[in-house]
Amino acid sequence: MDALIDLDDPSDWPDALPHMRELDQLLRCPVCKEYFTTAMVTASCGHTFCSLCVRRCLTQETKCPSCRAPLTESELNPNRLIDSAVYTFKSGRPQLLAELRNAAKPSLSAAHGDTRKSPGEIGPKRRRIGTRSVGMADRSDVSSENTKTTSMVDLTISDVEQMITSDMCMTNSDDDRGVRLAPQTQDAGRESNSDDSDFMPGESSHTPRPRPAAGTQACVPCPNCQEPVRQARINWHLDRCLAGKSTKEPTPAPARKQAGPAMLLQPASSATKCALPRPTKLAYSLLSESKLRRTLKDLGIPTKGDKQQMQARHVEWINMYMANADSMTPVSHRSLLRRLAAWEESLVRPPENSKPALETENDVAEHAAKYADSFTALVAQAGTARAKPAKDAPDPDPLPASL
Amino acid sequence: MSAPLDAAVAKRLQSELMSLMMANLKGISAFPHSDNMLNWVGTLDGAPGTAYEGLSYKLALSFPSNYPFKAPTITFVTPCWHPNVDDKGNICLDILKEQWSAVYNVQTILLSLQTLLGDANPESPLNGAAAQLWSNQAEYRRVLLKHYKEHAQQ
Repeated sequence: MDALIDLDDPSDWPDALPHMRELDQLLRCPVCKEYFTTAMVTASCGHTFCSLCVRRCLTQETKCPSCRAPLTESELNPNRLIDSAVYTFKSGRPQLLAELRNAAKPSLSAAHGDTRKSPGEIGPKRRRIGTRSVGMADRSDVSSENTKTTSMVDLTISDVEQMITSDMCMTNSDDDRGVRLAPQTQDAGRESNSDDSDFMPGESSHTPRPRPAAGTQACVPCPNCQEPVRQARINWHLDRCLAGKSTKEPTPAPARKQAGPAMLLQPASSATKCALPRPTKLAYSLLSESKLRRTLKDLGIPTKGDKQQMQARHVEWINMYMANADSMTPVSHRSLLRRLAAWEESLVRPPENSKPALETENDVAEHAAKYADSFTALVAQAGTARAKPAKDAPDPDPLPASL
Repeated sequence: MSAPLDAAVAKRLQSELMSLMMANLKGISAFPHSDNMLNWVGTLDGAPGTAYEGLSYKLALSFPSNYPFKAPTITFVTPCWHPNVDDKGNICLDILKEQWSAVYNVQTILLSLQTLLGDANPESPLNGAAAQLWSNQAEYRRVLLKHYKEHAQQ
């Protein structure tokens, strides 16, 4: 169950902020329930999905997953504004959640002179508090508390360029989509940032984070370990110190691969050395096994397995390839091939030694008894996560408005 | 111990588990049955005001490795006497078959099943006897309780 820890979820937002919850939900793909990755909008019914998600759905059935209206891949159009909105939202999310959490905690340091409100009071008031303290000097301690997730905010464009050039070695010569729309979405990203400024006070992703004001450099001793700590960082330090974690000041995390408006400035890399040819759909029933194998070989994808396996691989390859081509930040075809291999491995059915589904009432009772503890633990974990909206909180699926 | 599960599938199932637990809906629950996230057990209680009020059923949920692009397989583990459930526990429900869509999730399925219990479709029966009796709800309830007592309770 450790894996649950990585989940972020609309229910991370406190009950008192239903609109944030809803916004969080709205920026997620109805198919994979994750934030949109390369959002595509359908031409006829106007529903939005991740490119790969909707393409996989259309492989099964040529209907819109949300409304079941007839739909083909040619009716999918990129929805760049959503991509930018997701990027902006994701960048500001940890910071805002941390603000909410901090504001809900009783004050531990003089640096936080605000009168603290009880957690139940989160509301318009809380919002103001959050915004104010972000505007104040302690913004840096809040955002570095989440270095991992907010590090993108600190990236300069040159960092991003470096990431791109090191990671990307593809451009489709027949596809200029990597570059298109760049300036437009760039604006959109910035615009949504400033529109929400009283709500999501994240810095613009393109400007370096301002240094804290001089006054906050003053040191105070930590009540726990007696180490002198910068006043502005005392809360952050205490959290780590009490939890027994390293209290070393975080250095800006190395650049992570992630799409973002800053990247949109960058035309798709000029390197074309490992570009594979664009696959096209095939009428598999009309192809012999050897013909199909040759086609796969020409496309540069693995040719092992029987016809059925090759067909499945080819279908998935088209989906991955097309979704990658839709992306504003396509990955190299080499990484794409790795994803294809990982996908294929996951299709292998679980081995027989995993027990079959429960057969009898006894099994069920036994199972319930065996897992009673972990169930209670999970419920408790869910409860505390709700109380201190960490990133591992679960959600009460605000019921699919999209259904 | 189990084959590598596609990270996306695992993550989606975990987030469904979380959302299901947080939603804490009355009369439905589900939980992974082993370390393998692809097999779950569920519980379904009959909705109040229906013939199934007060009855509780166990379900087995089995997710394909390309979930949610293919529907999960859901069967009743507790014998269920119902027009659209056969004696093996197989369920006749359109959204689990041809009407499946990747936007559905465990929660929507369980809610649909709860609805199906109280609002059967006797036109396409898997259990002819139950389908015939469906129109007479008082008598239906009597037979149902008898069946439940004999088969579902130990």
